[in-house]
Amino acid sequence: MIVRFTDKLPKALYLDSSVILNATMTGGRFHAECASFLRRIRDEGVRCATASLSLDEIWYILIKNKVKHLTGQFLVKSYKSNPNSILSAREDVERITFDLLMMGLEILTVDLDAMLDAKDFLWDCKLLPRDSVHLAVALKHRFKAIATTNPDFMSTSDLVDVYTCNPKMLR
Amino acid sequence: MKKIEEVEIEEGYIKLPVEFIRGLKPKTKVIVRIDRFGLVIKPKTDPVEDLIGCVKSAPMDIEKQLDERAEEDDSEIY
Repeated sequence: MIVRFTDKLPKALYLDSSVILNATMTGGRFHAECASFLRRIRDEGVRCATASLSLDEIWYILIKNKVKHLTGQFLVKSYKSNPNSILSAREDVERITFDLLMMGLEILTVDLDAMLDAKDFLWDCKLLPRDSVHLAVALKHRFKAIATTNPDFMSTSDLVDVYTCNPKMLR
Repeated sequence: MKKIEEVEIEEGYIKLPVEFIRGLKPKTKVIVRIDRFGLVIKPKTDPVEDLIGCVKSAPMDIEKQLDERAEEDDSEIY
């Protein structure tokens, strides 16, 4: 089932990195909605978790955007000529990682079982690899709801409740 | 906040420079953790409020960036 961010929250929720990044970055299309959603999760004491994969995704986008902002180049091109370029994002990465841990977000390991389940979800749900890993980790840890702004997760709505604010998904 | 390069341990207590303590407002609660860079002391803030909007960015499509991250970068190189 596709569920609105403003609907009743579950006791436990798997957070996709898109929600965290939208709340963190002021230019995110769904910044306001994701910020309100995180505040609601905090206020209602909802147990939240995400896969360690999310940290990779969050770090990458933070570094990529900082490097692009400072050098005008895409990350990999800038990195190949000057690996130090990624240091410009260090403060943001450290701060956000610390905040996520301090807010009590559980970081779930991506193990072999999860990866093998993820492989099946590639075909069963027609998901891209990273999205299928998120789904596999969420289900392995018995989460019945995922929060995301990524429309690709619509195909998982038979397996989990998909909380979102993305109008494309709520049509 | 001023970064401290070295601290002393004296009788089981960590001795911090006076200038560092003076840099904190009275009754400020702090969070202390040890990470790979050493002892980290930060004023206690609500982590959710600290996280929200902490990166000022131009308008962006985060969902697209997550989906296409490798392709976008590769197109610049090859």
